[in-house]
Amino acid sequence: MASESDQMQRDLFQQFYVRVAPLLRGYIYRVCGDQALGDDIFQESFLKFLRTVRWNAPDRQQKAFIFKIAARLIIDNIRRIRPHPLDAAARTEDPESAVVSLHEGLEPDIKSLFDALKPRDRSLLWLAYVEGYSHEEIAGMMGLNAKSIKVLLFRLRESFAASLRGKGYGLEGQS
Amino acid sequence: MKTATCSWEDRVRQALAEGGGDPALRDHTARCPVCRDVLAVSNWMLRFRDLTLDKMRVDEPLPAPGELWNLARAGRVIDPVAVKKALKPIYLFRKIAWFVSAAGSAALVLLEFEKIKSLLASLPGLNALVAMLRKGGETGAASPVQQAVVLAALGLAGILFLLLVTSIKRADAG
Repeated sequence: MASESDQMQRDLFQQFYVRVAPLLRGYIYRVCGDQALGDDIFQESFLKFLRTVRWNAPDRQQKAFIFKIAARLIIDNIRRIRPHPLDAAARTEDPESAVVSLHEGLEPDIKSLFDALKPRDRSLLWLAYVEGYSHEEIAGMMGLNAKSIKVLLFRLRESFAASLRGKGYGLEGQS
Repeated sequence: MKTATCSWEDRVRQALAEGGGDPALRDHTARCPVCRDVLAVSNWMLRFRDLTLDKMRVDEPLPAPGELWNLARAGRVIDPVAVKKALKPIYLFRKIAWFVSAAGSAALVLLEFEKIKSLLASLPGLNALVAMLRKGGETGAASPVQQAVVLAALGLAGILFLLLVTSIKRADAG
């Protein structure tokens, strides 16, 4: 009986991992900008998640929970975060990576703008505009109040949009 | 700075992140300047996310889920916060034990003072030392030997006190 439930939880975890792990890793890596630190935070997030997860909770809640763990771990390690671009293609000149970078277009501009932000602001932008979390959800993840998140996101959106438009990107977010 | 907000903002961001949006939402976004900005930033960020994930898929494959599952199950990675929490009662008990022993020792010394006094009196040379210190106290002029004895006694008491405080602090920090 115990092993049956264990197997069921393992299957649930595998499904969750396939859906969420790439997104979480993208978030951690872009906010940290450091691969080794990103790997540590990614692994620790899942280990913490597995210690406390309730599999009967809704999917969105579980996903928000692991993003909250990662956001808190990033805050705990904020002093270790340095601007350190993840340009593996440029560094290694790996042909496969180079194929991807040919289609990047927007990336160098948005990446330089994104990397210039503080880790907290990178985290806010990603959680709001990539993951689509509400002000209240982000407030819970970052340990701030919803009103502050609203003001911070407003300022970030204004300056981010203005900078990208200044570089010639259109209103619909297309170059 | 005045913040321009819209009550639809959260819904617009969530719908875009989930890859869609109903006609009412699209209609609103076309009319609302705040949500137009939200749409633009969301599109840029989602494109940035896609490029990031594509690049990472090529550069760094994800670890296998089974690896993390087994690691969590085996409890190979110990959470220091959980460990500290679990050991808290032990540290508290250790601290209490220190105070109880100190208080007990003091009480014992007071209760058995006469016995200790007679035991000390039976020690060879101690009577002479006590007489010497008493004499120094009465005359007010302590000899160099007396001064050395007093300093040594004070030093020893200081060391014992420091040892006691350090061990209590170590037990707390532990």
